[in-house]
Amino acid sequence: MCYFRTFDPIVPMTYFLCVMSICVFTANPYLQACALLGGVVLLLCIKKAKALKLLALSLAVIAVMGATNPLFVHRGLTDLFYIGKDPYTLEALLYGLSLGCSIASLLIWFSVFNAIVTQDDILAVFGKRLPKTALVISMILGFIPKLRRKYTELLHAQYASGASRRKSLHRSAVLFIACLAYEAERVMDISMSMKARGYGLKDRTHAQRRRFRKSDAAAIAFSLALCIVCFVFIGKGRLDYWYYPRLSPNGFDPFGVGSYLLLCISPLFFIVKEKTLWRYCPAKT
Amino acid sequence: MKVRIVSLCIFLLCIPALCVAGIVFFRERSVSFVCTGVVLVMLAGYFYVYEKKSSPAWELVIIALMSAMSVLGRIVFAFLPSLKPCSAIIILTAVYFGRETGFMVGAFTALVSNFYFGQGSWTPFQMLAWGLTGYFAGMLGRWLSNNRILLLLYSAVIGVFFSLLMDIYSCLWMDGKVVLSRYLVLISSAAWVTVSYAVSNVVFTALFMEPFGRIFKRLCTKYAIGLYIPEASKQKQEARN
Repeated sequence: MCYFRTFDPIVPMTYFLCVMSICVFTANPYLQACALLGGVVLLLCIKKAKALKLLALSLAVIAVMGATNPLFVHRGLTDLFYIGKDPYTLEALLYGLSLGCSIASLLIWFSVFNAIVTQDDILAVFGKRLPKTALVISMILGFIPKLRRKYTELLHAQYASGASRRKSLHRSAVLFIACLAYEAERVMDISMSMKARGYGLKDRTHAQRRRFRKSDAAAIAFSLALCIVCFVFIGKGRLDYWYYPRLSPNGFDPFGVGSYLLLCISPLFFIVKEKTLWRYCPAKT
Repeated sequence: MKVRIVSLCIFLLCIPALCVAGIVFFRERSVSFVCTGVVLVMLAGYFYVYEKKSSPAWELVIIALMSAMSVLGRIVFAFLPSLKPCSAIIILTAVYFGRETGFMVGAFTALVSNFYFGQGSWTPFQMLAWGLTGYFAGMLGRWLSNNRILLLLYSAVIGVFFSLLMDIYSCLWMDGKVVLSRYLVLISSAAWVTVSYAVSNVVFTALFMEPFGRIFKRLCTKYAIGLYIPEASKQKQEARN
């Protein structure tokens, strides 16, 4: 999506790392609610109606995890009812719901991540630091469409010579192997060509189209600062929360929860800003 | 030398530090933190060593080609429910081109095929599981390349291993810690998946064993690459250089 386009690709990646690193490991329901809220709002802003399917799936995950956890875990003091001899406790139910929430928010955040961070961004970030890995990944991404085209070509040739349309394991394997045999030779030519042009020599340079600006640094510092604040509060035990044997009375720290909420909904600022600019500030003619 | 020191530091210092930090900071869900952290650190260490090592151009190209092939296989054979050729391809590549190539092919297969099938927190686990599939195959390469029955047996066993590792992941994801009862429930409910992994590995290894071996041996002879270079082509290569 275009909302983060003005930033260096490392900015959204740092942001998602900050958000998800807390949301994976916390058991605190307030933090989970923040993550879920931020994720749902962002997802709806970015994907609109397409997001509904994922939201339904997340609801189902929360419901299933909540309902089944008490079947495995019998800790907790408030018995709701008994199944056979085992108690079905309120605490286990709530713990299941909280687990469901963390899984659902992860699903939602990953979906937002996939919508915002593209393959090109990942390559742009790692191309300088991990040149070999980035080179191999971009080669793979280049080979896949070529291989698919070759495979389809061979398949159509088979159709044209009167083979049946039914898919069979044997025929797919034969075509697949033919693809490999064809492509392996071609690929070795690529490697000879790389070698001939001086691959692996020292003093190679790296060029990037975009420069790292002050606003990028500010955005990264903002996400990291909020994330560190949250981790400090977690480390101090202000955000500890437990379900067993009885629900914990504390765990709500306005400052810690507030900073995480701010972190989760901060991209909204850019979305709202862009939309307002688009709507109310038409270009001067 | 520096690379070796840094990688030793990663494995000997970072992993225990992660365990301690996890236990101190995340009492309730420390296991999930520690496991994810250890998986990430192991991958990072491996990739670091790989980045620093100088490797010839053919190795990169073969890694890229074979990863692309196994992603293609996942797409092409999608009409067969729960039969995936990826592990078979990774194993065969590792047997002919060495354990490091095998590890990288496995890791990249997981990473790139998840561009198509959806990234998630399972990606690092899958990368490690498939990477190790390749690594072990490469370690046993001498025996596996000569003995077909051993190769089929290995691919069946590694299918079960892969499934068990991914079950640990789903257990961690659900509970935040390894609850033995839940793990056993998961294993037994995923028994069908485990069996299908093992069966698909055996089926595809049996199908690909002979033709892949032929293609790879031809490459090895023609370009003097890989583990099993015939003496004649080795001498020819040396003469050319």
